[in-house]
Amino acid sequence: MSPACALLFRPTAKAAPLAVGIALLAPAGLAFGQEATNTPAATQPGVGKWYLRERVQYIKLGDDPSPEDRDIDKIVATTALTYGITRELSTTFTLPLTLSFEDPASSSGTDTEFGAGDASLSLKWRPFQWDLNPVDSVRLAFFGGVEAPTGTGDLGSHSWDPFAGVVFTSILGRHGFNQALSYKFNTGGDEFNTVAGDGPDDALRYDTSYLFRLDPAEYSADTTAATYLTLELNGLYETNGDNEILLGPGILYEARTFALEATVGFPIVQDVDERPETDLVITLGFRVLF
Amino acid sequence: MTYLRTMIGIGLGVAALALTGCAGGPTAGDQPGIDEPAAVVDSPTATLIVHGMSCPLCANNVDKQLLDVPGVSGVNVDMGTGEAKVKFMPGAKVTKQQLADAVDKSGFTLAEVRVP
Repeated sequence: MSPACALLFRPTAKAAPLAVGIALLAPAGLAFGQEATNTPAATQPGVGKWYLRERVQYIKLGDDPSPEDRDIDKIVATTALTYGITRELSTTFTLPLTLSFEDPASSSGTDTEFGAGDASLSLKWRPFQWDLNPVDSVRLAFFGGVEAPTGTGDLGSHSWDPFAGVVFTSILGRHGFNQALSYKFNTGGDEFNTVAGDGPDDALRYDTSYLFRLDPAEYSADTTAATYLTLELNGLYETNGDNEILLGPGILYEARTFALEATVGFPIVQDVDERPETDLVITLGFRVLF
Repeated sequence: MTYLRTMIGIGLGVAALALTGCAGGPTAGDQPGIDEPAAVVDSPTATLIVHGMSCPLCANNVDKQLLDVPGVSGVNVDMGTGEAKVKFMPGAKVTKQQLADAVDKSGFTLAEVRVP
């Protein structure tokens, strides 16, 4: 490691408050163990291990700017499979399946569509990990990949869209913080798309999450599970000027081999003109390590 | 728009390149507290002190990797103290290096190996 790199990444006593400060002050959010529902994290499975994550979301959209002025409800089931390649590198394949109900203002019928959305393949690389003691850890990871045009009908962008981002995770006692920032280069997209961040304009996601370990207060030899309260801020800025931030309180139950999660997201900042606004997102999830 | 994309692309590229040379994370071989890594553990049990096991699902990585080591028959992790107590099969010839490698593969940091 070069002196410059060592200065940046070598754990030192002086670096501790700096790392904590960065964790607390970083502008936006991100993790699999202590990972909130909709915010990435700088965690990954061990070498040769798999991590499966299933999420089902109910999404209610309104104020559609398209000529059809649609009310839209969606149920999206997303499968994400992650594999640990090395200690620092993992790969993830993600595939959403969507059932969409659209009610145009001009007609009494409901248009129903079911199909795959855009699948993605990504790599996550964690160059920095500082495990301070048996529990506390500070980590930084970079990720990048591409969304493939696998989406059918109105459920995908029909274009190859690369993305890249950075995630910072700190776990200090009962408190977990995640910050993530990512940018997606949209190379195609429909101007009347209904998938946030999937239109013809690029998308900048800025996410923050906080997890509080409700139970147990202290880990012990008998600990087989933990329950967390979670709070997320999930922001999406699109280069057409649209900006939206969802606040998402939730709960996470984590056992030794699986985890269950539930989150409700609702907008607290909404300046959206080019696509339907997000009114409500309810997420239920399941994770398993094998 | 194009300018913004270019600048973001350059920024991400520079960050990735700068960090590429800094990826030398800890390896099992140079973990502190491990003397004689090639020595066979001459005991039916050993205790590993592992750092960074911040959640139950994370800690399960340590169980899985240690159980993959030939000769290991059982693992019991105490997340509070960071102790992973390892039991060996009778006659097993497991080295400290193998245990260290397993913790390394789990993605956590091995602080010490204690053999009674």
